[in-house]
Amino acid sequence: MKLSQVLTQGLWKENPVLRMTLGMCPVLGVSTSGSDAFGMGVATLSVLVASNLVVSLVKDFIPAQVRIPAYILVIATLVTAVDMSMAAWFFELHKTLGLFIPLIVVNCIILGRAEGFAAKNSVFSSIIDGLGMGVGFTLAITTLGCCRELLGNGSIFGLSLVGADFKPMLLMVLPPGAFLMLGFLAAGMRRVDMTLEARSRAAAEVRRKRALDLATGGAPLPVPPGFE
Amino acid sequence: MVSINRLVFALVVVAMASAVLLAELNGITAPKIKASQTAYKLKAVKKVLPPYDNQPAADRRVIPVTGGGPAEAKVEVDDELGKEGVVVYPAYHEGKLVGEAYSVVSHQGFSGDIEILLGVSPEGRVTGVEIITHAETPGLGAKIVSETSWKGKAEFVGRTLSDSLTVKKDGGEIDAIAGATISPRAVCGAVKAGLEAYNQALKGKLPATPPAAPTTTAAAQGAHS
Amino acid sequence: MADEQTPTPAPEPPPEGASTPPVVEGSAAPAPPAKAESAETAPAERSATAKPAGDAADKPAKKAKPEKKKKKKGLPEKELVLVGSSSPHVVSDETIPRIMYAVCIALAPAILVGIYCFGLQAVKVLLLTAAACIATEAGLQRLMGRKITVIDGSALVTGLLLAMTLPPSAPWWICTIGGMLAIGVGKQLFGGLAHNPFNPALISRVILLISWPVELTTWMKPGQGFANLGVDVVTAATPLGLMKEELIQKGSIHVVSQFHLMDGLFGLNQLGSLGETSVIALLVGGIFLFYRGYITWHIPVGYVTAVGAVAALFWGIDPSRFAPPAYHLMTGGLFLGAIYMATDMVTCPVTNRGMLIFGIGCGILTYFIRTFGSYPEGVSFAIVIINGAVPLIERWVRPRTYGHNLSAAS
Repeated sequence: MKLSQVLTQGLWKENPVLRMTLGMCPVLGVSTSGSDAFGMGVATLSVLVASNLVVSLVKDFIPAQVRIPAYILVIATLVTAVDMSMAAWFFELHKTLGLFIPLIVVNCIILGRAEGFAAKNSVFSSIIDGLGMGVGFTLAITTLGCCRELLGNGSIFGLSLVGADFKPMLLMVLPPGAFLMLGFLAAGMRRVDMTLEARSRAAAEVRRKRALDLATGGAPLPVPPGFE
Repeated sequence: MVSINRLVFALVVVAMASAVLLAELNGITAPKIKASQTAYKLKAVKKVLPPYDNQPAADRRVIPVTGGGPAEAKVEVDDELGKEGVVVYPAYHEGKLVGEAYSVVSHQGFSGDIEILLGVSPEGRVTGVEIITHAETPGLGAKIVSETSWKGKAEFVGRTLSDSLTVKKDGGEIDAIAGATISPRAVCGAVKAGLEAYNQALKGKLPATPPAAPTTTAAAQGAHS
Repeated sequence: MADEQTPTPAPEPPPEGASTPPVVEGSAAPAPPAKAESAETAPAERSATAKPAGDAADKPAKKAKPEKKKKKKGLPEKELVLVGSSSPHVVSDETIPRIMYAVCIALAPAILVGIYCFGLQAVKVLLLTAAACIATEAGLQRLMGRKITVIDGSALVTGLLLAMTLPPSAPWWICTIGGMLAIGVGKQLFGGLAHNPFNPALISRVILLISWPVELTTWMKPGQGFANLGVDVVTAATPLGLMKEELIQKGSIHVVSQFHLMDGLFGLNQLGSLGETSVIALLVGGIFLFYRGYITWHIPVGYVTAVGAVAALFWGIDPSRFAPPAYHLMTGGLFLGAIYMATDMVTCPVTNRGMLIFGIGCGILTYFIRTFGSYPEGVSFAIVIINGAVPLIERWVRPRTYGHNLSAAS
């Protein structure tokens, strides 16, 4: 696979949140505001890149039978490191995200990429993969957070965008709002895909027609036997 | 088939590497985390106390209090001082005690406890209220955290136990939040309980003048400066 | 995850080579009709599994049900469509519009009481909500390229029911958003009429209540004149709201003693949602629906009895903290919910036993939410929650197929 593909597949085609629906716990839990969601995304991104890096480094040293405990150990170490660093340098964000930071350990994306990609690929492409998947995760959760914050609080990243007359839709910053908004986002993404697909199909059809016309001079194609 | 020794060896190496890394990192971050925690607490302490020229965190005292009831002064264990009780942060201005701040917990929140930091002057007047932790509904009960969304929070200042400390809906003078009566009511209860605890147990327990040689830790000082 | 799969492109449009297309086209052409047919059969299959033929023949009371279910598929008379569905096949002249407009007639008494009590404010809420529902239904069906079926009256019924659960002085935007949510989120998102697992009007009300608690719990007093549209209306708390307030604050209740049974029965002097105040008016409409065979007694009776029984139990334990059964029965949206919401054909079980369990479940839950929950009224939450349990109830009470023993059937 080309490196550019490795980088971009996590952004859209295999987006961990909206396509693979992995790691739903933090996605639904801390996406009440854009900044919280972004913080969570970046924390996950750093763990993901680091764990992909470490796992691809040690993959030849770890026997296949103990690879899962070893990977989990690596991931847990990295998450604890991120947890402690955030507590030290981003105390307020750490306080808001609370329990969700240690829970990155059990985020399926991390182990999924370690097992599914880093354990089989070179160090460099593993980092790229972690980066792509992590950025995809961050983008998705931040978008979700912004949408929920806008509807549920009338602001984005804490910046109030609406007048005093705006009545925020509280449901959106409560748990059911997370599920609803996630569904709408995934559906919207699918819609965009369908439109693109239909457009490229139409373009292909035009090309095919043109090629046919060129080849047959406009005469209808002979029907193969069995298709009358 | 890989021998069992090889498996154990691999896991032990990974575990040891993890342990070493985390121990190193802990050494680096632990003082910083401590400092951040103190700074976080101090930020609230500063808000609820009148202007001071001492170091409330360094001068803090632990005073044993018997709590109980729907709201109570928060009893905690202070590791550094090695005592259990209400942690009181005093404020001194030009050698005189002007106020003290301590945590009060209300168990009457809409969802979970609400912890407030209450600032009280020596004559028993509220000098400020800050919400430390809460789990109220975002956009509704959670409005108690700031003055802009809940005017009532600032309305406590200057009140004593003999003043009205209930929300308007209950016949008091404190502003309520439309749609969320329980959260402001819980804060009112906490302020009341805090003042009662002050009159009963805390009043006069602090030295009237700042301690001459403050026994401070480097972390607390660093955070305050 | 499975990384090897990623390089293979996802199903792409047909290749551009000129040799394959005829085959692709030939295989693609029959696909849409097949899809349409399977979609049509789905509801019929559902009702068939829940109600095998042998059993339906045994109990005459059940006959009404399959007729309705069949008609719910909304097949227009003059269109030739082949439908594969399993038995029982019952011919009936019931249609969706007929049922829906009958429900509208049944709602009329309660709506009239609402308008009498709350004046033009109530008219505004009714019109806006119904219009929003109908417009959303038409708009979404058009957007999705489906047949526009607003004429069948189901959107109108949803709109009226939603309006009846709203405070009479609800602002215009609550009514419009409510209507959009009811049809958009509650109904069309699941696939339209007969596909929604939850009652659309109640889903909308629950979302509104959670999202805008202030607007949804501001109740105007009745009898403030008819032309009260631009006027600042006087508001107060509902009986259930008062009770909750007192219980939290004082730990005991006194409002109960000031409550007049007649207020609850006729609803002319009672605070509450637009259409829930008059028990008599709601009962009149309910009897009409029962007489026409659109509802059976199981859900309403089970519901109301359960609330009464649980209330009596708790009242017996401690009358100072728990309200007497009459108070619970005569206040809030109990009768509106029990007669018109819980009995929604789409979202309630199909067997009599199932409906009884459904009603009792709603009743118990309603009482517990009212008494121990954080909201004063629990009817809408209770019905929506039990709606979610309907598939389980159906599984539980699935009738035995004739000739099969019980253990084999279950």
